[in-house]
Amino acid sequence: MQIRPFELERYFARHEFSAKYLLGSSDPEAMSIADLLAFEPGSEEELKRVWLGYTESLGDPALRRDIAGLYESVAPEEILVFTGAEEPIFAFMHAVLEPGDHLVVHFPGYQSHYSVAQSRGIEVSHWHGNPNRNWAPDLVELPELIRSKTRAILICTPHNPTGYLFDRSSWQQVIEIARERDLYLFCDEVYRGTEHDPADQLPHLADHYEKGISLNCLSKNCGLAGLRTGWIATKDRDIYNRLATFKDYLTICNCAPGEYLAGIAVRNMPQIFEQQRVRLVSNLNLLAEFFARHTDLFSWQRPRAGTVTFPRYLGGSALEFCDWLVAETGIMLIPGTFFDMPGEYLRFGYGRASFADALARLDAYLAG
Amino acid sequence: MKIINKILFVSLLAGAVITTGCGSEPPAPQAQPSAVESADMKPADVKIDGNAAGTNISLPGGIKIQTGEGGAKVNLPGINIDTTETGAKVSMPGVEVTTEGDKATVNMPGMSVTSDGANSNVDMGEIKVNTDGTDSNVSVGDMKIDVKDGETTIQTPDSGEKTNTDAE
Repeated sequence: MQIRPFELERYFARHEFSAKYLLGSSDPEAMSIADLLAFEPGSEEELKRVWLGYTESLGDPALRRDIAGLYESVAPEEILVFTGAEEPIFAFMHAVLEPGDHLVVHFPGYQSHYSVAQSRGIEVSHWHGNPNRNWAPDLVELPELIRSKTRAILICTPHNPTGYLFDRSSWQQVIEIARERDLYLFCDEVYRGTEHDPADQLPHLADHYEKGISLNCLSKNCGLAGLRTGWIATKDRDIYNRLATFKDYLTICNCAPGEYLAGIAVRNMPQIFEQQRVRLVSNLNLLAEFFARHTDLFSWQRPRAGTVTFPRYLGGSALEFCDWLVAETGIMLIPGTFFDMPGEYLRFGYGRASFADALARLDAYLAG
Repeated sequence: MKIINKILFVSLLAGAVITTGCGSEPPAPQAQPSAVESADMKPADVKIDGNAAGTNISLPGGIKIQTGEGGAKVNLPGINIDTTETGAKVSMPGVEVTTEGDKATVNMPGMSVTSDGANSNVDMGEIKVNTDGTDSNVSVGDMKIDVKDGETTIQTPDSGEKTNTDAE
């Protein structure tokens, strides 16, 4: 079966050269290698000594130790390092699920979460976030979606594209629903660390569910998308081995300098998170003021986490608005069409340093 | 390429207009017998008045030519040409060309051309071309090309943030 084109990526590719002001991107402000090395004096010399032979397939042992240190109880041997977060999603859908299985996916969402599965003949049901409840999905609905063939539930928190963050109680209920039915629970945690109030941060799933798979990377929380470093944490040995075995047909092993640099990021995550959080909150305050000025055009509820938000556009087709906007002004927003939600919703991303300028341009254009 | 074509076209048009305004010397009429003995043109339609101060010629079709000391005027339907000893003005709907000594201006909708000695400027809104005879600069929106002291520098517009993916 053919895999569907990744609509969001195709949209980015289409506007690669015309979009001057990216107001819909999910990755926060990035940093240079020099910025990252500055966290650890002497690391520049160490980087020069990084050996450029093959690396260990499971990930650099030192990096796995550092990553495991982020978890309450996950051991280094329960960490499997990949290239970005796309690769482990792809591996999970191939190595763990079988054609004919059923998967429940938090929706709207990142297309990889369901299109890869569908391409393998895995049936997918959407567990919808409710826009009238700031995109909280209905916990009563979740058990109703589960069938005899259901093998896994996939959630994303903090959520892309809505910014929804499960509260601790709801998150615990999802775990219990999965546990009662002996289902795998795959939690995309790549936006973890972007909680606007750090006190709202949820624990890692892998620390709290024996059949849980925590997915993380450095792209969305640290602004280090160029490192292409992601990982899986799981205490389920069978899942771990299946993913490790499948990885032999993907990248096999990771980029050596990338793993070295990723180690610096992981060891200095609190400071990096704080830098990003300050910018996110500041930008989100500007966005709140913007939406207050344009209540005739947008309906919005403030998210508690993430780098993105998914307001409702009241002026008609969000796709037409976004297409017109990028063509006329170079300002790029992401219409909900590319999250398989055609109609009224669109995504704003507020993690970039250029956000204020881009938003001011949009504001001026709408006012003019 | 479109921009270059537009400049070329407008330059040619401006050149044509200026040529019209300056008026190259027409060849002297040959004394040849008319095949038709002025069947349609009645002598009464041509009026020529002349004295020491100048000459007025009126031709069918609303053409009037006046010459006098230091200048001449030619009026055709929709076109006026006025020359003095040092300059000329050609007007037609939407287009005005003026020359005075070594200064010249051409104005037409969406475009103006001015020259003063060695300096020339072309302004087409987003497109501007300037030269002082030695150095030149061209701007197209945010893109700027400067030629100074034989060196060319090109400043391209900020192409925005570099990213083409939203990958996790």
